[in-house]
Amino acid sequence: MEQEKVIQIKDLKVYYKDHKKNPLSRDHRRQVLKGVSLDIYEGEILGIAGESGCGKSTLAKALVGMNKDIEGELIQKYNDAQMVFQDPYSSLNPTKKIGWLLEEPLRADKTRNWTKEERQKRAKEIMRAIGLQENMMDRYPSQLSGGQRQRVSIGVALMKSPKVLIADEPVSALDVTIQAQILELLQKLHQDMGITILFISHDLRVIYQICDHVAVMHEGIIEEYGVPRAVYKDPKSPYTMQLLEAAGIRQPKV
Amino acid sequence: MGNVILDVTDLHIEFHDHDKPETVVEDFDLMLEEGEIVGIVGESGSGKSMSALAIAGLLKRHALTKQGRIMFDGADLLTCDRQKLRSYQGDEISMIFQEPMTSLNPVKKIGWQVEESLRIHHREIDKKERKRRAIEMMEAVGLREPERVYNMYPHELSGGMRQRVMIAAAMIGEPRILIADEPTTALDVTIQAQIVELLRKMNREKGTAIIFISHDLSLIRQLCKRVIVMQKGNIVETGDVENVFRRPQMLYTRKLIAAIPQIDLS
Amino acid sequence: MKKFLSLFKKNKATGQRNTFLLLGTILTGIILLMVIVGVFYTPYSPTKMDASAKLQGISLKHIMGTDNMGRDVFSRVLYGSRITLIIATFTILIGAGVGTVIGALAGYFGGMFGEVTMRIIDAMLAFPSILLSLVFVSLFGTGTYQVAVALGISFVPSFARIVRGEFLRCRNMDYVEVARLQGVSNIRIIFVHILPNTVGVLLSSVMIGFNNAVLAEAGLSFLGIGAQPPYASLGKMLSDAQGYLFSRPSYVISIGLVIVLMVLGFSFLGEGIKRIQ
Repeated sequence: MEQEKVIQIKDLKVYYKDHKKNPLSRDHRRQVLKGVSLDIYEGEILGIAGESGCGKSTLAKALVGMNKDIEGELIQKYNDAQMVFQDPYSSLNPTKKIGWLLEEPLRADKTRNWTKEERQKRAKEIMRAIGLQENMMDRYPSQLSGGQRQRVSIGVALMKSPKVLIADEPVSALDVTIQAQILELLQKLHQDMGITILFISHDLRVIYQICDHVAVMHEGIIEEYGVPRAVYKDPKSPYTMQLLEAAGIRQPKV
Repeated sequence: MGNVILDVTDLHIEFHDHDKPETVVEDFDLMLEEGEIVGIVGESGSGKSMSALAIAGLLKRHALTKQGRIMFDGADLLTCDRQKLRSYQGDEISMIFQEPMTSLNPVKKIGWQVEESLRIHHREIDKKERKRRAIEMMEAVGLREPERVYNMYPHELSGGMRQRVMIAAAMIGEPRILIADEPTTALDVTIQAQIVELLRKMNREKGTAIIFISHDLSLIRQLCKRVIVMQKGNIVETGDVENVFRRPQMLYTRKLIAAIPQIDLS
Repeated sequence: MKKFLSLFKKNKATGQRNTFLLLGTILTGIILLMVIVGVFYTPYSPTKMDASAKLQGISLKHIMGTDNMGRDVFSRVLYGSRITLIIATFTILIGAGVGTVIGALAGYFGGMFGEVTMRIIDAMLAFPSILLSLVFVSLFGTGTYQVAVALGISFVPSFARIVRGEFLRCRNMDYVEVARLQGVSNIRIIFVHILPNTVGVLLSSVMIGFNNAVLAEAGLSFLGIGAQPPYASLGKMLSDAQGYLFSRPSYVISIGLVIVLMVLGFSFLGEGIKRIQ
């Protein structure tokens, strides 16, 4: 059965302002994504691999509408994609309690009016789903560990039950054992809620562990796409090979 | 067996800046042989960086108590006077840190920073010779066009290049011990591999002993022969890297190993 | 109330007492008490002159002595602290209030709007604030409240700069992006999400600003603008007293002490509040 596509990207180009160039000249923009085409299927975990500056975060931001200067086609089945950021220390407002942070997406919901009771009920549901005790809702982010904070970040993103979740390096700032727990949580949420996840990471091992497909990005284009196992076993692009060798997944040929 | 150059026994570090004293390192032992690479692995808060800072003599003198002995060159680094400690720091024992952006002074040229330890410890070397050595060292750490980089500022370099500069600055005095505290954590994988390769080269060519601290067991496995696993200030396991990997004795070590996603391509 | 009192007790976790908060509350309390008492009762009339009792020292009759016109200094201080406190408070309310809104909008939206706003602010900063206040006083006329408004406006630029800087720092934090993605409106992001994060910096500048307001008001009084004789603010009284620094030190010192206590009390209070977190 052909799976449905939740996001279709066709020849997407994203530009940033280049501060070194004269802002009045015609080409004061720098092309960061140089024509990306990618399909994301319903209910899958798609991994995007690449190093810093390759454009993987730019792609994520374009999907949630944070980049304005874009060309190309971007068809989304649901327009509700939410995002989880890398650094759990800066993605939670330090002056707000956990419960407040969880409720905020509902307060800002323009499609319906949530009563206080409904908001609290939903927040409690999410606390259970992300594996945190209810009494933590009265705490401030600074009273939580890195792993707990990242759980809250994921919880905030899930409050409005989005169909698509974009996770930008969600485990890179965490310790290995905590990393494993967060990955487990993402997999569990993926199964329980049937949510489609776009998982961005520089760590090829993690991508192998949880993703159905992987897209390797390099300098603004997608170098290679496929099922992780097939890609890792027989990489077509020399850059993918280089990444695999650097990560110690493949031994360099002597 | 080679010569033991560093012998740490029963190191205890306690913080006193809160109501209750807080033990951050307990019973830490380490014997480092000439030209050896030892890995210390553990998660944040395990005390791995604290132990390293103690060895480098960089722990503040107030608000904490230290016990035990750190014997180097016939002196105990914990109790010897400041003057003596200073003469080792940056010369016999060097350290590189995780964040190459903040560990370089943004308003000084690269060359100046690489030369700094020569300027302090080897006053007899004149300016021309200093520059010659700096350029030579920068070439050795794989910085292309060292003459040009010599006159550049940190912000003009990429993260990987900055970490190379840090290594050059740490290695210029040909130290006997190099302490590397998560030197690759802030870098991309391909750059990470290059820096690990560079450390290996430094160890091979200059015979520098390296204490490599990381939370990444797979990285430690690539570089080190011997590993120390730390948790909550204690050493939980120590031994040959391959042995620890194949037959981990402790539950915590097993957990750490299990946290690395396994990839079997065959 | 119980929660409020517990702020002054020793923290069980760290074993530390918030000394700044305690001292600040006590000192500010004393000043406020003086002001409130001064509304209902002064030992003597603050304006009644007595040529036979000029420049007396400290005594039971006049606990701060008398001034060069034989008026009771303590009574005048009770009255003067009220004027000073009102002017300083209004100055800060206007300066910090307007400055925060301008700085927040300029910092958050940036772009052309932010640039133009900040250049106007820069232009205002280019004039000495005392000169700027003089211009506004000449527009509004003289008097206690007019001076407060004039000083307030001249304090706007520095607050706008500080708040804008904080907003520039916070605007790119991930939690702001998260809020934006959730569809939170810009105004709510500015005032509910970002503003509380600038409180620490804002509070210290309010405390410094308060001290500056006391001093700026004294400067204006010296030029004959502000509270009109026979009434005087603390600043004006201090500048009147300086001529008798050597002949009757207790006169200057007692007024100076009240200003010091006032300024110190607010500084401590600010520091104490900052340490609550």
